[in-house]
Amino acid sequence: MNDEHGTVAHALLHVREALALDDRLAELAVRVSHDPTSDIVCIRGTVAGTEQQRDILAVVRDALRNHGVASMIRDETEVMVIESPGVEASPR
Amino acid sequence: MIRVAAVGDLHIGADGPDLLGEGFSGIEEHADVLLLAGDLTRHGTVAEAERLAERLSTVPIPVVAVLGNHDHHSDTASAVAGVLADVGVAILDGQAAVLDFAQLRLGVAGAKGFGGGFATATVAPFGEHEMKAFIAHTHDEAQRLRTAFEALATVACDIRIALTHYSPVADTLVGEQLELYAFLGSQLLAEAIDESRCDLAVHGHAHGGSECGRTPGGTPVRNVAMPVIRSAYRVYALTPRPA
Repeated sequence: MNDEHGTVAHALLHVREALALDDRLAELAVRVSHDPTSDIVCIRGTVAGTEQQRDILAVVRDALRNHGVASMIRDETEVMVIESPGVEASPR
Repeated sequence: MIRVAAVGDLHIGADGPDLLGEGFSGIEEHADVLLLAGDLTRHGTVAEAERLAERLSTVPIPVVAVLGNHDHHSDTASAVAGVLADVGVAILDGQAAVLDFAQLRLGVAGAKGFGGGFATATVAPFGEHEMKAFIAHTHDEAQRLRTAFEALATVACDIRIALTHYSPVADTLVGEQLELYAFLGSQLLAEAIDESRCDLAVHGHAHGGSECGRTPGGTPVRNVAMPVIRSAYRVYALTPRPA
């Protein structure tokens, strides 16, 4: 993709802001990156459930569209599986 | 031995699913006390705190907590703390909690902490008012932790723990982007911890970080952010240091 004005890079800043400020999410830990070769925006991170996963994808899609970016989005977020609490004896 | 359960970054919303679920059910079989390392709520609203308080009200072991940056987002941190205190949670903001178990006494010194960076990449109090204010808050939080430890020095505790939201060391940030380190913790917290000779420091905040670290003075540090430990809590079985 020819992005000589840095449109996508600048849009990603606003995507991260949108994730933080969305009322459903307040999401600061999801990472958003762009691969210029494939023109794919990738989102990664651990989320609480499929509902949050859908909300994140929707916020990213809307924020990119609002900033004139039509890149494909690859959702690599994962829903966290809670494991049994581990025990550590005498941390040193 | 005291069994200390610890977790941070529950991010409880006013509704909908969250990471914790029914994760504290039966905790008394595994632990004697529960430490919460901040970011207990998603936006720091009273409604979110009330939802968490409902779950904590059924936890039959003592609960000690600090707030995190999310708990401050709506500028109602005092009300959030009040809701949790109403169900018996000890909220520490530069104070200490002392808990007696059978033959051992546990002291917990707590403060939220703040960013500022580590070692060669730290923020200095120089330039614009905003930069000075940023690092002044870090110094203030480190001093709050010191004050809490000073309070503990007046009682004979067998085991002492530092509880913060922000990280005192870079070790437990490994996995996060380097550019974020200065916003994830401060070595000024580690300095306060090392002055106190405590047995363990636990923190949250760094979802993409690592679990284990150590202060420059050798205090073990554990990042108990829920996305890091991938469980409702981690349990640390602590025994007093040999005399």
